[in-house]
Amino acid sequence: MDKNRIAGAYLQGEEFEKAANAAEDFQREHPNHPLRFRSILIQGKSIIKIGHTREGRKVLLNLAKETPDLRIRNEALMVVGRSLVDEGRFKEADEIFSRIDKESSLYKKAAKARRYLAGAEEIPLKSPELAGLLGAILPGAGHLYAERRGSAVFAFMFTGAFATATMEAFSNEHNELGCGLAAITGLIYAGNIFSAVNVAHNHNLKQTKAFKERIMDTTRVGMWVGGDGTFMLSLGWCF
Amino acid sequence: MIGAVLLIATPAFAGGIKGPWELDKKRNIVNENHETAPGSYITLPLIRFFQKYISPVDGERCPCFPTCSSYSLQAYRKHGFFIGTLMTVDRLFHEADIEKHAPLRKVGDRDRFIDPLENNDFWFADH
Repeated sequence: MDKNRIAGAYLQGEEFEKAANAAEDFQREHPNHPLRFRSILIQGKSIIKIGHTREGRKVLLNLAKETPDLRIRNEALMVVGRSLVDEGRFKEADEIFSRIDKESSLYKKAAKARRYLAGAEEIPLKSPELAGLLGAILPGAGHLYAERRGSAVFAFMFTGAFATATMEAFSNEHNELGCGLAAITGLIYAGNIFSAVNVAHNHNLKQTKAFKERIMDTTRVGMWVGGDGTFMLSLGWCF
Repeated sequence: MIGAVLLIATPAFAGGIKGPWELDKKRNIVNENHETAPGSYITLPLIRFFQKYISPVDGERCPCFPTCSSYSLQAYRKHGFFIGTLMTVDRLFHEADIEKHAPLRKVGDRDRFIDPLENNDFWFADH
């Protein structure tokens, strides 16, 4: 009994390994205790927080199947759904959220998350391949496509200046200088294509992160419900 | 030309300071023990020369952290000559509008836009 409370306290204090170990100890010492399911929930959450997301989700999905307690079941599903959202697996997350009971207090949050998830395909992503191609055709065009106007102007002018200098060197028969400048221009041109691809990737990362954060905020479970009928409120503050 | 040389050289003999290159102690120079990727041995001394002798005279102009020269040094060490050069060019290009795309944090005594190497090689580098 105490070990289960200790595990919960560790989880609240973000000592996830200790929480998982304490919960496991509790299950071993009290295999038939009614708080066993609560303990498995703590264990599953902790395993996910440690970073072993697949194992944690497996524990929680088994728990959702086995437990007769609907609150625990729904909370486990919510945690699994959030973990899938965090990994960008939006369709699977939507399926998990759809399994949360209508009677549950978490249902509204899950329904809201599902509404957001329905728009996952509308996230304004940019194609890195297209950005690279545009950058190859006209230096700066790839940046412009990825909504980086300042970089686009700079890329165009910088590459253009070196290309002009190279042509001038050759037209004035400074062939050695021209060759040197041509090599530098080639690297800058290749860098411009790389940069266009990179800014498109960064744009996508930023957009996906914002989308995920909106769902994560919606599905946050702020209150930890004690399995023995007691409520445990957690207070958090930032400074 | 002579005037420019004197202008740069004069502070080097003033007030017991050997030269502005002594200021590099304050700067962000990446860990010397980092493993160096092959093919970057030509460029690394050039960047170090820039950091030690040119940048202190030119002043702290880079708004990013790590500074462009440190970033370039890291890129050459991690990815070698070719990718290192591409990443350096990329940094110089996307620095132009970095203020809209990177978080501003206090680094040392001034605010800088945080743009580490990992933010730009996450999509192809093996971590």
